[in-house]
Amino acid sequence: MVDIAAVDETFKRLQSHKGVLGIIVINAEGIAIRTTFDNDLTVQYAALVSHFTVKARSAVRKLDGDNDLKFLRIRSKKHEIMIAPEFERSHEYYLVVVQDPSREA
Amino acid sequence: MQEVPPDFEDVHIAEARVDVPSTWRDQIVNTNAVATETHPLKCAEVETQTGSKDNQGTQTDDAGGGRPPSPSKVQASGVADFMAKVEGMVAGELVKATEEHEVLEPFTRAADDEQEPATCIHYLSPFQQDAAANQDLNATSTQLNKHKLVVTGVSWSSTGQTIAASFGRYDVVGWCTYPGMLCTWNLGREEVNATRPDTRIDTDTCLMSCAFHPAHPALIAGGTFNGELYVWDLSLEGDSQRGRSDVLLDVRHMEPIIAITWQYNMTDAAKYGTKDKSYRLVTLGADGKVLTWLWHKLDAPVYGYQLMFPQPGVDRKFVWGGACMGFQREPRGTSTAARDKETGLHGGDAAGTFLVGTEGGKIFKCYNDANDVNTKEFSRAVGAGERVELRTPVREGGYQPHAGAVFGLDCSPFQRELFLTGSTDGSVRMYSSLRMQPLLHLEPTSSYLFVVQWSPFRPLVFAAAAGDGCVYLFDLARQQEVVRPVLTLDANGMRKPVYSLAFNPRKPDMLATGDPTGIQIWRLPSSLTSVRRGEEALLRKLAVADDVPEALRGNFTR
Repeated sequence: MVDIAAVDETFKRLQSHKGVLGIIVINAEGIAIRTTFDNDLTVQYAALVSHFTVKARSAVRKLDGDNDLKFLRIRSKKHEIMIAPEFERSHEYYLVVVQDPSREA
Repeated sequence: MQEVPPDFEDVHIAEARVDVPSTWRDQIVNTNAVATETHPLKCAEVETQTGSKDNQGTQTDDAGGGRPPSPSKVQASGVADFMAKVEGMVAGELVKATEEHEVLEPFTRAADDEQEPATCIHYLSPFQQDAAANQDLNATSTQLNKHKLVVTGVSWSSTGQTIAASFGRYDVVGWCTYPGMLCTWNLGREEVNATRPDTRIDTDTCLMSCAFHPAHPALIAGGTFNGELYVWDLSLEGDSQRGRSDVLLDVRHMEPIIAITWQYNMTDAAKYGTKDKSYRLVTLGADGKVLTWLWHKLDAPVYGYQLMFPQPGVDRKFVWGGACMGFQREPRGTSTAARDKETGLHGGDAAGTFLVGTEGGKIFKCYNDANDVNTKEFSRAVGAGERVELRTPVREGGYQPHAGAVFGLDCSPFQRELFLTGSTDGSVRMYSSLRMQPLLHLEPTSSYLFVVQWSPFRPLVFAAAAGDGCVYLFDLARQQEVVRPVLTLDANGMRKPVYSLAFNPRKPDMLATGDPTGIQIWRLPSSLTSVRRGEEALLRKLAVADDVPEALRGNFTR
């Protein structure tokens, strides 16, 4: 319970940044375990982002076996999509933050 | 020849009788009433039940301890650690992204220069189109545009739901014998009938302008070719006319009413206390008169001006024929307007300064100083039938004139002193009312320009309607070397002039245009409707810039 509260606190802090549209935490199976988006968008983000991140990570590791992916930031025409992954075997998660920096705060 | 009478005497018609034996009567079967009955029906209820129930479950063994079977535990513990770990990194990136965006914004702006098109979502016309009408003999007389009327003005209601159009003609010489009309369509309906307006009001002469009340959604004013002013209440059943100006009065428009504006008036607001009556009507006639009216007492104007100004080189003052008019608006700064829409809306139009474009190409800054004292004196003089000398409202006439009649003028809703003009010389200019030289001079087309209007939502966007059938949309937030239209709407595809244009006051993506064929309702792309960062700041900067094209370039390369 304490953990959940801590996670919510983090969500709130991130959300207070300028132009943040939404935040999702995805587990290793590509299932969203916490989100601020609506259901459809969450499912879409979760599926697409986890695939993409795994691919990106494998590219980094193939280039150098000792290396690992730390952070991903995708700039699109409308948004910035930021992905912070964690590949620890016991707890593998991705934190996804979608931001529209052009939005007035 | 002797006539022999016919000999029928052995037959007496009265006694004649013919017997015909029946051919069907003996075929009828004799009937008898007979009753019969079945045995009583037998019913039975039977129930049945199984002897026992059973539930069964099955589960695989734990595969090998690597991942515990209950995921919720893992989620709770792991996530918090994970979040704590990555939060700093993400937060840092968020800040960085914002900063980068500010720096890169002008470049991305240039990169996404391609423009989404606007779509025409409604095409409204009370008339059948010419080609169809020739074939369709069933068309009733009202559906045929036999007087070749064109749309002279369009106006959105205060709710943004209803579009009204005035129909008249611009090519009438001398006395106008063509009937005009006013048509409205409610676009909020599920099915909009494009050829059947929701209301249709016929007028004796061409209707040259119309304007909806800014707060009351059913009140609309219209001005005719003969200079009569009407006010209709569309919510009234039957005759919707609420008022009409007196056509025999000395002080009236003697020529077509070109422009109508509803002007907020503090005194009236205090006096009547209702939203509807807080507004006065100000009309501009082609005869150079600017008259102020109370819409609920439309018989006589409450005050009047005449556009007198000396012609260069002549010391006598001339009356200038008005062609368009725009009132300066208090900027609806984001601070007040966003928070308090009502006051923003009403207080916004209280200023008395207005600009008039004339047929001679000159632009006048005028001031409406009508107050209680002089309106009372004016009303008394008009009532007593005295000859009233109309004063000139012109305060400034030194703006660099256009080479042709100025038919389009609009003051910026965001920056008080800025206004746009559009002229038959094919140029759009942006002026500051404090400076004589135009800030910006654009020539989107070589044909006439009839209307210019600022977007009510985007401070840096404006549209100009032209005689070549096109509407040119400009976006100063997206200009680089040369200011050119970001989007061109071809209203009719036949190069027929677009005489009127109106942005929807409530729905940012709706634009209405009117031309000889009818009214088009456009849906604008989001790039022209969503406000960009720092737009108002840039507009403020432009208003005081010495070289606006340079300032725009500077903004781009900043």
